[in-house]
Amino acid sequence: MLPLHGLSTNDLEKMADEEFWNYARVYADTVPRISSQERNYQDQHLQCELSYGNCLIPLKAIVEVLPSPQQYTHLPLAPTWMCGLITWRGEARPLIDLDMYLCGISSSRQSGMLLIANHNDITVGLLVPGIGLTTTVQFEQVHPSTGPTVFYTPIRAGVIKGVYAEEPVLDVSALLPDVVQQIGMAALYG
Amino acid sequence: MDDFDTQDHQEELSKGDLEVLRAFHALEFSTPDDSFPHQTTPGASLIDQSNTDQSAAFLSEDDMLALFATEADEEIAAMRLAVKQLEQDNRLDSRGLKALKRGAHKVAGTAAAIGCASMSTIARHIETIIKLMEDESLAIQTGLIALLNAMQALEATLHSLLSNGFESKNPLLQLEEEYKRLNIDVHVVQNAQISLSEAIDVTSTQWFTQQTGVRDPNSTSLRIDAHHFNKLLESAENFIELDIPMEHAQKQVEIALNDLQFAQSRLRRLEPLLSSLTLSVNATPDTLVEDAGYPPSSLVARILQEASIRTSHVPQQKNVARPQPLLSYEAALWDEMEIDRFSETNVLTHSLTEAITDVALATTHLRQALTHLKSIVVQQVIQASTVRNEVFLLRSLPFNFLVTRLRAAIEMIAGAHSERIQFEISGESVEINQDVLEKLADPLLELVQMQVAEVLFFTQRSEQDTDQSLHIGFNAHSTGNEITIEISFSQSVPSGAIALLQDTVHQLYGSVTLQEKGTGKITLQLRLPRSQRMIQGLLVRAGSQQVIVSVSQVKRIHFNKLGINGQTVQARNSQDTFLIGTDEIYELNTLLGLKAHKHTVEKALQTALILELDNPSTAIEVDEVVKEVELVMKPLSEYLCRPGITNTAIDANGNVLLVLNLPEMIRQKEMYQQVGKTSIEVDIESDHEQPMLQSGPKVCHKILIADDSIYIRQSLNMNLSHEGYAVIEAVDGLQALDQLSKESPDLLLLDFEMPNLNGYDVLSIIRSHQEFSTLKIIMLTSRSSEKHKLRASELGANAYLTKPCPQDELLKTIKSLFGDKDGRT
Repeated sequence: MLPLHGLSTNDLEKMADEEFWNYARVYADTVPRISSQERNYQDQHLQCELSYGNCLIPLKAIVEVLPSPQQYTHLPLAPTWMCGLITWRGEARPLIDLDMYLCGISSSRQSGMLLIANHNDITVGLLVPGIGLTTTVQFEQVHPSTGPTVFYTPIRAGVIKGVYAEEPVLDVSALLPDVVQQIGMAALYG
Repeated sequence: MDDFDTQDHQEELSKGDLEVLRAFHALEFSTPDDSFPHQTTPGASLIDQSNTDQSAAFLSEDDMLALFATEADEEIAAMRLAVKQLEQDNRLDSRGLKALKRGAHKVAGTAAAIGCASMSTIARHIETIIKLMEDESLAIQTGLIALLNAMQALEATLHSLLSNGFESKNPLLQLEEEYKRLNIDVHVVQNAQISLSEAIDVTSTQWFTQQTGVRDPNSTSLRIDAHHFNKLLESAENFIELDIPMEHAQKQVEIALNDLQFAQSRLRRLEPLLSSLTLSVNATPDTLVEDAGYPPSSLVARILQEASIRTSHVPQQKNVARPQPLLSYEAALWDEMEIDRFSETNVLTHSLTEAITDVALATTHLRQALTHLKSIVVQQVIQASTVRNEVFLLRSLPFNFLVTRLRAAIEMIAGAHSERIQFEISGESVEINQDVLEKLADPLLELVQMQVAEVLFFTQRSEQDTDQSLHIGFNAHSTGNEITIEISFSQSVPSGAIALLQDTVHQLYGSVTLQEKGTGKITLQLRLPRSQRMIQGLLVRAGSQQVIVSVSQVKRIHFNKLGINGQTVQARNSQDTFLIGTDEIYELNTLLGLKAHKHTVEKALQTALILELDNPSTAIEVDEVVKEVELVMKPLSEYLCRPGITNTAIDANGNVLLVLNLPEMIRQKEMYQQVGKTSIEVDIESDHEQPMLQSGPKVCHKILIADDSIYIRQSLNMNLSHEGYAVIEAVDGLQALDQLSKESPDLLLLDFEMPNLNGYDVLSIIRSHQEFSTLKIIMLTSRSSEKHKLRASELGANAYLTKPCPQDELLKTIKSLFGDKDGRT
């Protein structure tokens, strides 16, 4: 066992019970813990307004919220739900119409909000018709997505973590890789 | 390989031909690991090596050894004579030195080709000694001793080779010991020389890395040229030195601004006085003041006037000379000493004039300061550009670096025939980016190898007897940010090699133009951007989108001068002399997958980019050529890359501009069309209108040749290309499968005996995959037994031909399989 605060295992063995537990309490306090605020942030989700209903996106995956870009560059052989390319922090990023991706319906691309989402070095722009409030999601209350509240197309079920308060919770760790994979495949198969 | 096992072919070839073939074949099968001189296992016999070396299949090991030994012996004898002559002449311009140099170079190349590392190294030492003597780094007498030692070592090594079947390393080791004693470090000299004559293996794909120290992906170090580095330092210092004038200019602007603000505030202060004066004049008629005999404009006069009104007492007028009112022209001549004579209006007017003058002056000063600041900024921009160019030059090398390699490779292949090849080189000092040179090296090498082989080996003997020599010219020059490389041959060039070169050049955002002259002379002109980081391109509009096209890929811009006159596109173009000779016209909108124009009778080609592709040209119709730009290119993430689109640039407004590689886009489009995927466009407007191509490209059947013999591949390639087929090659079974999946050929010419999966294995795999069901396969092998034919038929071959196969029979079989007369779709 590694020494704790300069104490070896022998030192610990020589301690009396009370002395040991006092030491343990002090040591426990020194271990960095996730603050309640931080934990709260991790559970925070942003409500996104889509054409058929709202969905929730983890706030920690959203790097920036911007107005909808007025211009974007069309990329050939792109999926229909990819509007094109935008510049963010000096790099070209794909702009995804989230409404189109999830529901197969295209809302106005000139209005709405642009969410810059990032996960594991994948950064994409998600275009949504509007955004609502942030909500703290109690993951115990996230249920499998079934029933009439499901408005997204079945093929997107893999990117949905579940339903919370009748709103689908997006799994960004699945969503972004799926987006990247499909954009890449579109180059090969059109 | 099958064919060269036969005695018949050996009998057809002369001794010289065999030598060329052997060297060529050795190159073909050399791998990076073969890099001479490290590949020779000490003590391993030549025979043992040959058992695993496919190049030996041309001749028996004994024959190869005997051939080499005979030739080497003759060369060594000639070199001995040359050394003697050098001894007698005792001067550097001796003919002996030249002959010795030539002989050493030849032995070094031939020995390397056959795997005799020690002999090759000794011969290279001789070359180094000669170079040291020429550079006067080594005294002639010492050099002669070193050369005599080297000759002895060479002879001893050859003797050991003939006696034992493998070369002894001892003579080389003893020679190097002797050189140490003479204080000659040949290794240091060789390493310091970039010249290709000292290169380890000119044909190795790792040659560039060996020579330039190109970055190891895992290494953070980078080898740079000291001269360029010093120039960069100098430019960077000049750039930094501009800080002082810049600060000074900024201060001048600040001072001028403060002066202007001060002058403006003074002007503002005068504004209420001007207003009050106007009111005062209206309220108190001047006549009253003048009648009372008071000074017209002084405060005293006003006080006295008010007092007289209050007390009804008119003061006695003193007996002083009353100031005379100023005449109008006098009021303009301000004099501080006679201020009493000026009225208040005069004073205010004067102050106003002064304030306005101050503002004007301060404005002028500010303008001057800003102009000066602007000039400093311009200087900074120019200097920054210089620094950037110097940084790019850090990774550049002279063109000669590549030429030397090509030349050495040619001489190595040509062997005894090298005297038939004449070189013309110019522009050796033109600096070219290392990355560009590295990418160009292999396709250029392949091109010249094929050309040399074509002339020296594949050309009919009767033609050879005419003793026609091959002229190869290399020329490089740069204009702005573009580099042009011209490679000329006195005879025609294999189309397959040009296609390979074209692919590489297109990837570098450049273009290749083939110019044929009546005399049979061929010139390949390569236009390339100087840097692969910056793009000098045309900003082109397609619909609402702007894209960039490399200037190096555009031959010219076509503007329709006749205007729209209601004729059809075809009619318009037929009248347009500028488009005569343009056989393919694409719309950029279509290539980009944007909504294409409706082609109506009113629509006519207005603006087009004429590309530097094959002759006749290819035109790309665009909506507008906005301007020429120079921007930094940023590579796209791999998943965002599209055919012909791998880079972007960001404009001043933050918009993403796609950098288009139009030749690559067209190539991909043709490929898609060929395999039946006519719709590669994704219409963002969900309008599934068929993409429009004004005039479809001519599409030829694509044939894959899978054979491990370069001779077979080369000859088939030439014949089939001549017949109008697109030909691709694979050197073994695995590569054949790889090419099948990538290139989707229509027909496969399949050899049986190949490394990495034999022909039957490949056939079996292909027929087990549904996607290759339409692929036609012809077995082309030297195996003529019925057993083999039956096996091929069972596995699904469409035809079986036995080598050597007459060209007519082969073409007839191919055409019958395609079901056409001329082999074209």
